[in-house]
Amino acid sequence: MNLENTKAQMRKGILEYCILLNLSRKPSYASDIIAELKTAQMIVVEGTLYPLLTRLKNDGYLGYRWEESLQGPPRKYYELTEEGRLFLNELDMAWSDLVDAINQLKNNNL
Amino acid sequence: MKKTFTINISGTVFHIDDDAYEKLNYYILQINRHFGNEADAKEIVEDIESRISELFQERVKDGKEVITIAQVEEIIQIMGMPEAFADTNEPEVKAKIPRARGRKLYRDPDDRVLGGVCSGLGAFFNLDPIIIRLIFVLLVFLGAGSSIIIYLILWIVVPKAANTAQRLEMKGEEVNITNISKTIKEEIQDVKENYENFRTNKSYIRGRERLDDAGNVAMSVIGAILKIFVVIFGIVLVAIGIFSIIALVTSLFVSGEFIGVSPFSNHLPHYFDLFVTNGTLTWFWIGLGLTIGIPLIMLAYLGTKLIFRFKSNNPAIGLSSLGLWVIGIILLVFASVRGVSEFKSVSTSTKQEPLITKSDTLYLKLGNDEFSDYLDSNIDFDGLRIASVNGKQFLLNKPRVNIVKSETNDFSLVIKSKARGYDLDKAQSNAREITYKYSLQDSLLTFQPWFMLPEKSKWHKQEVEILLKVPENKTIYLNNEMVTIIHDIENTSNMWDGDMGGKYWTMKPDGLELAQRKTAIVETPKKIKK
Repeated sequence: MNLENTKAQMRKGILEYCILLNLSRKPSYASDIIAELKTAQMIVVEGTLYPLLTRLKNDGYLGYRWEESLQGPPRKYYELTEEGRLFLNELDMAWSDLVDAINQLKNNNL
Repeated sequence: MKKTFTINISGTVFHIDDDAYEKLNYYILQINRHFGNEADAKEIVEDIESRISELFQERVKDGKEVITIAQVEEIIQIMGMPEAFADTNEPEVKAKIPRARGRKLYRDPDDRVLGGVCSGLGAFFNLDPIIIRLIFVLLVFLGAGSSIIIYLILWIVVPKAANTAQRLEMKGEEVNITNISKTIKEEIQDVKENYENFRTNKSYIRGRERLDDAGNVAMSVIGAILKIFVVIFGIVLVAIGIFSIIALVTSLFVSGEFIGVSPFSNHLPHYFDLFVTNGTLTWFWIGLGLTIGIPLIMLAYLGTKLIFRFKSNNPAIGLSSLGLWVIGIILLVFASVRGVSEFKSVSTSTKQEPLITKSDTLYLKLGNDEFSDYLDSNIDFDGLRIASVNGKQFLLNKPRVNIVKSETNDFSLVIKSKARGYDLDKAQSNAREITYKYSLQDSLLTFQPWFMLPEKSKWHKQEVEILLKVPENKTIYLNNEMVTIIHDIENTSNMWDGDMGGKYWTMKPDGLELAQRKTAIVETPKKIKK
């Protein structure tokens, strides 16, 4: 099995969670999210992000507003909706469960 | 120096190199296609475009620099190919398979017997190469020797799949009905997208650029139609090319058995060697074959290129065929000059033979035409005839008989053989090989209706002139059939050659004079036709 591929699959699974985490602190626009996710080495190619953002928006978890920018055309700022916050809470719990499960597996504590 | 375009990516203007634009345009097109079916495609693509715009802005600080192809490649690297965008929530199977850009014809170096042509064709048509090989071998055995030529042409012009990318292209997507319809759908999709762009861009783009887009839409529609026509045209070209090559080859080499499709008279090459020496003839055929064949091969090549869409910009192919064609022309000229020079000099060989007879009257008779059953009825070239006797070919022609006054008291016969040749010696020997037969029995002088050249002799404008010398006060009788070979005999009655047969003529000091005598016994009733 290809290590890189497995790692990519793992990252893919939690990418939505990461986006929501980022947006839970403050509204931001796509490039900011990309910058953070790239630093965290969560994404390799930037194109990955856009279908996700659009889908989350269409599912009602994200909203956006246009903001004027000093450097160019208006930017699309995404923010969490109330629904998105609830969804994020669910994901938070799911993540803790997941971490616990992994830890248990690692420590052979079952 | 490079051409640049001015483009608008999500509201910002950039200058971009020609090649960089092509690349970027294709990339965005791929993204469009990738999300083509999804309802929110437009939004995703717009977001991606605005990010691309942002990335370019970071690289072109003062807004004056031109975006290069390297920068476009870098941006594609950052954004990633659409295939990598697969949405996490969707099942893996839905991830799009990388699109092979149509299948191309290559020669397969990994699986080959000769040049890998058959395995390449097999990959193209998704058939086991064995089948293609069998078809080729069968064609050869069934007499379609031209398939060897086709193989050689393909070997020369089809590029070898040298690297992995080309091997993938070679195996590419299957060419079947589904795919063809898919390709057409893609074309339509492109047309739609362009039209869509045209409409949505209206709000930003003014004046000329709008016209450009209208042009793009039109071009896509025309392009889609053209592609179909190009393939049909290619098939027609290949068909014409190959059939003409077959016709050419057949008429040049096996003309005798060929049945009519040939652009040449089907007997011409067969007899041509009777008129031109073998060496010259060979050069002539090679020259003719090249001058006509090369354009035909190029036609077929162009057709295959159009059908299979393989790229072969190897200038060697064009240059070498041009070279061969020019050589063909040179050979034709050379052969013609050489052929003509065969007729440069004239020489005559003269034989004078006494005709010993006790009679004062000589009966002139045309002998039996022993070749009448063997003459080729198709050929009558200025009196020249061809007789095929037991597979051997002879050139025949009529002698010309004239009657003049003898300086002596005896009858005599002068046979002048005349021929042309490259030089005087050749002309002389050509004149000497002419055979002409006559016979004298008592007072009956029989002329053969033909003079003949030995087998395999070429035509060198050979002529035979026979002078019958008649002493004064002696008489000749011209048999009716003699009129076919006598030529311009002077007589005091000023009678035409055609009327002189069946009559007695006496040599007087002024010339031949009609003698009043009754029809001679040599005229058998069945021979009186005229």
